[in-house]
Amino acid sequence: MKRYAHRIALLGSVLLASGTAQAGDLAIIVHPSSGVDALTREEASHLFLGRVKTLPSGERAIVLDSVPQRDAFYRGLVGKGLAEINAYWARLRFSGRTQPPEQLQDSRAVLERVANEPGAIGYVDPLVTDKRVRTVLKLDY
Amino acid sequence: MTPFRFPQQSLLAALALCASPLLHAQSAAPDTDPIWRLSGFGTLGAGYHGSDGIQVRRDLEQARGYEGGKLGFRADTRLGVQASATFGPDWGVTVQGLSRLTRDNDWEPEIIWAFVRHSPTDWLDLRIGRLGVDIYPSSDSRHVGYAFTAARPAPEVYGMATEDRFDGADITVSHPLGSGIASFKVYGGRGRGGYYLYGEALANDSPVTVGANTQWSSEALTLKAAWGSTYTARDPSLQPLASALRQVPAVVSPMAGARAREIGISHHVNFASLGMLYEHGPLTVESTLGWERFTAFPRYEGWAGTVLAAWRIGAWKPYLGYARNRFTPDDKPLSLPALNPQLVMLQDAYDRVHDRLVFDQRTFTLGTRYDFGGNHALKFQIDHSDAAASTLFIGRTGMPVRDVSTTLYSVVLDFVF
Repeated sequence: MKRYAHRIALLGSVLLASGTAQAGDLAIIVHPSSGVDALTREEASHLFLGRVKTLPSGERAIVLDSVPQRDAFYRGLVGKGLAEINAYWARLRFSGRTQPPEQLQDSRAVLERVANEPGAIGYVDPLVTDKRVRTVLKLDY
Repeated sequence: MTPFRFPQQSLLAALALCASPLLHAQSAAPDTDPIWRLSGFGTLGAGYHGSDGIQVRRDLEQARGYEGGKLGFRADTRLGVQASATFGPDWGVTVQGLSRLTRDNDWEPEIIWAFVRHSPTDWLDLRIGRLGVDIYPSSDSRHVGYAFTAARPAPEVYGMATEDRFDGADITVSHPLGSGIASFKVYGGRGRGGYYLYGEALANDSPVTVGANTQWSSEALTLKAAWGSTYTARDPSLQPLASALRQVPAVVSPMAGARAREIGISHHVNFASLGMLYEHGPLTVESTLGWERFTAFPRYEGWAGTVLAAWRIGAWKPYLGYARNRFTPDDKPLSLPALNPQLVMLQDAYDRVHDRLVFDQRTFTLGTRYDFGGNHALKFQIDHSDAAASTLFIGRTGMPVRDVSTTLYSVVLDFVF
């Protein structure tokens, strides 16, 4: 009985983990030659909110948004919905401070761009990542 | 004071000169293609209040506001267009034009921003050209309605700004501090702008504007402290009053000559402010508290503050706000005997000058914002204002009115593109 209960618990945790990975994770990815192995949440938020323009390694950052995951990403990263993020960028854009991240159509497009540009950084569904990119932070949402 | 027109042609010529290093930067790095962007923002606004004979203005720069008993469309409506280009990671140029109801009661477009930017590192940013005075926590511009939660930034605070643009330069130094980024900015130049007061469009003669601010921004919280000063060397607007007072014989009023000697032609406007913006999850709270001193006769001092809280529920964002200002002159009484019509007129002119910038106003705001389409926001807002004195509220002839209590109903559509 005890072993049976253990198996049920194990199965439950596997299902829970896989469910989370498919429905509630995003991976922030960079090029393997970017010189960045990992990012803190603060470093990521400064980059995606335009407060810094270089990766921690010193490489000039090309920050990319994936349109389908944009809402989930900013809710997970900084606790703000798309309306607040759009208003935030309106403040910065129309005072000439900085431009918002370039918006790409989906995770695949972000993956291809990051795989081909050493300074590029974006977020994708973890299931689409491959060895051409490096995951530096995982976000739950 | 003489009505001021923006020297936009000379500004653009100077900007072209400043931008010449960009051409060299281009020739030095031919693999860096410039990226051009055209964007814009705007507001379509409508408002109604029932206070007959009174115009509720959004700010001192506008000649008109929402007229009592009529549905108005002019006070909040505006359109801005911005062209910007980046020349590699370090250089950029931005020009922004804005059309809205002006102090001349027309819609003549103005150049609001026009500058060259150089950012050699993450931690240093230099700009030269036409810039905005950076005192607001929510935005460097009070014209981008989409950037604000409410239909308009609180007139009690933001409506007082009259020379918040300047031709000059600013430099910003930033550094990580704790979980956020701290920055320090200094700026200086020649102030641009003007205002509408007592039925006249007025502007100072290129005042000297200097200022500094420090800001700390984290994921959810932005704190800002700002200081600024504007110095006008030659403002002859009160000299006719001084001359008239000097002609009053001492036996009629010994105080008239003394008051005439107190009226100068130079003055300072000094201000300091603290701002806070908190945004996390569904909650937004923003607050600004400012202090200001205006040294022109009879010398004014006062403060203005606003707080607004909002809660996001899906596409809707209801909000509640309060704003208050109080700006009073030093007490410089003058009582001329009513011996003849000239002395009566002089007394009236003196009283008007003495009280020309008196504010004692408060507004409660209730509204909701509805976001749709990714870059549009529709806002419904009710403002109830009580003003013992305010030059934001004017009569049909442009004169300030006293003891006003009014409720303004507004609907605005903000958009960016």
